[in-house]
Amino acid sequence: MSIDTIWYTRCPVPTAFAIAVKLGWLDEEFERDGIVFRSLASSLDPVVRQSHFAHTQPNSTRHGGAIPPLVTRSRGRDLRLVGLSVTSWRQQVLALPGSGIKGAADLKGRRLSIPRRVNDPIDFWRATVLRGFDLVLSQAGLTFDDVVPVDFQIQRRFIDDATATTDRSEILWNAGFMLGYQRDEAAALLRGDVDAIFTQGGGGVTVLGYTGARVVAEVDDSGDDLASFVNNQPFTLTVSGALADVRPDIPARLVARVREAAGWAHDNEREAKRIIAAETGLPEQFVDHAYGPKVHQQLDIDLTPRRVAALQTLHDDLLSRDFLARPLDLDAFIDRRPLAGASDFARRAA
Amino acid sequence: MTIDTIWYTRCPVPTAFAVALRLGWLDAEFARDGIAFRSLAASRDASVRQSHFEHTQANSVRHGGVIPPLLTRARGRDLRVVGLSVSGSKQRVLALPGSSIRTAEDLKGRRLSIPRRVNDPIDFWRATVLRGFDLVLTAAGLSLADTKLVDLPVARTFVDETTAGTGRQDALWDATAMLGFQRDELAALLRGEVDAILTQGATSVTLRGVLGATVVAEVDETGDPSTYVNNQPFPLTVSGALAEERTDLAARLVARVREAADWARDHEVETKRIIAAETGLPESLVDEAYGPAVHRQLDIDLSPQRLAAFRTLHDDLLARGFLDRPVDLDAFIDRRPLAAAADFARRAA
Repeated sequence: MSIDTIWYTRCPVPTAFAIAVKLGWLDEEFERDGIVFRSLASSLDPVVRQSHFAHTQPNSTRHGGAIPPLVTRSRGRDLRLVGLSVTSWRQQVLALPGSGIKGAADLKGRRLSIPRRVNDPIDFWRATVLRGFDLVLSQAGLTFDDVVPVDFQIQRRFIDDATATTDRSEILWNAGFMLGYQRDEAAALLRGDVDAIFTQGGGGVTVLGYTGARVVAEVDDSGDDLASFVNNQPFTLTVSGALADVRPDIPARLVARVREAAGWAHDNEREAKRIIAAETGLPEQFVDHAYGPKVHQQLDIDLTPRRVAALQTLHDDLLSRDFLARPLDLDAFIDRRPLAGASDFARRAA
Repeated sequence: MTIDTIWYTRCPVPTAFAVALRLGWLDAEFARDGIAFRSLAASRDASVRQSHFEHTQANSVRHGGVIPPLLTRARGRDLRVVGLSVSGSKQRVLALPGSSIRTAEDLKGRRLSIPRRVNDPIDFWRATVLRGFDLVLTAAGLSLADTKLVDLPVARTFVDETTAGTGRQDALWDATAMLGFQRDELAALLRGEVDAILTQGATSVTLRGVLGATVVAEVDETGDPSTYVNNQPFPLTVSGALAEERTDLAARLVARVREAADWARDHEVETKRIIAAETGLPESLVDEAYGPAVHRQLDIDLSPQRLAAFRTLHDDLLARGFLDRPVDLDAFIDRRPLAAAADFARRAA
């Protein structure tokens, strides 16, 4: 198979993939074969951009939230999972001062914001919010039956707010997108239409800042059991099925460079956090607050049993909430060859 | 006069002072004399922090918005202006999408948010909002009288929102404070209590993103600064006693700040990273808030053009009743440190 372009995309979350992109390592890697490495953002075509969720673009790769790849795979798309990463990111419930909500137990009987993107084929955020509230409520001995979920509809699509620029390395989801990401929910909170909203990572610090809301509950992510707290994680590194089968050297080289970028981030905290800030649309000083001070040490990708188990939990969660068209065989979804072959493509010492 | 500490503060806006600070040049400069150079944020004492507005702390220095120094000088405080800077700082009127307000002309008859900080002795933001709306309306052939001014009382004070940190170099207002700076107005807009809000600089960009708002109007920032500046020129001010008794310290301060402005001109990316940190923005939004040339606009001087802009702001504040009495600007300005700064220029390495 002759390949002239590899399309890529990443979520606005901390990933080693983004570090490798920003360091120019991936451009450089594929340029050697005359392959152009292009962000989906470099096209204004909504079908191309929608591939961030549906993985439809031929010869494409993606690193980011686990929900879209699981959902699109369950609908029959041929893509493969070649690596998993896990970074801490705060999952918080926010309420306004004066609401009388001070802890998770106070959510009983209250109205929780459950957004629904009616025009998005893959509504990963609704799935994330449902799981996030569920985790918080469970820790307080409550369930969704004890609260009033407020289903509210959002017309705009995720890609409607994607970047207007078309640079080859541009991220789809820029700082402006991130600022407005939860605007409908924040407005509902400020107008008194809901009592609490769920936020995660960079969104949390931003929404807290502009609403003046308080954190009333937080998912405990301190334990070793990833499955007990991950949400939209582990972050999956995925590639198109044809690419994995016909040109297995390309995913292996991709994995090799991404792993090296994780190693680089480990040793270059300040610059890695600056990149994470740029990727997540945050002021630099918010990075630690959103993702924890060790985020630069948490970018490695692998396929360890622990991370695969966490993915299984997320899969089961999505299935039980009816987000999947059918159950997935994760063993068939995971392609271990690129990770196994990556060491053959390790960069030689300079 | 023996001095062991110089207190300083800066506004969350682009300044060469902040660049000099982050490069460590000011610490190094005064450490040579055994003088500790401390941010007001290093103290938790509310009266120390309030000195950001009232310049009450002994031997203190400030670079930032012009309204507080003018007000506190009018109330009798002895402080001196030793330099002025002007940088782009977008002034924008925002309305909700779907509000049918699309241009400045559409503001006719609509409700404008005019916040009032009821517990702040110096409400620079109210003065800024009034002038900003006035500039926008005038450009459209309207006046404030053609609109409905909605007085929005805000109980929290500016210092209530200052950082919990007490690092010696911390800025008083961090990124969280900046995001929340206009949150009462944001809520009023979302609740339908007002139709439009005025924003400036960093906040104009964050609130636009947060709201998905339409920029209804923007002040034209080309030509003579007197015609568009708001809460500018940014004055570099020092305590009167410091200026009188230790003119050398004020001159050395000016020398280092001018050098930082030159450094910024040659280091665009690093300067914008500093401006992002100072103003609580993601780096990628600096240009949208302050214009792409902001790193070249940090120099301080006392040129006739900037003095004219300073005069305009003074007259504007006086006309709106913010000043207790007119201020003699010639007496307020101390030219000696700028004149002597050349004597303290850094020797070539």
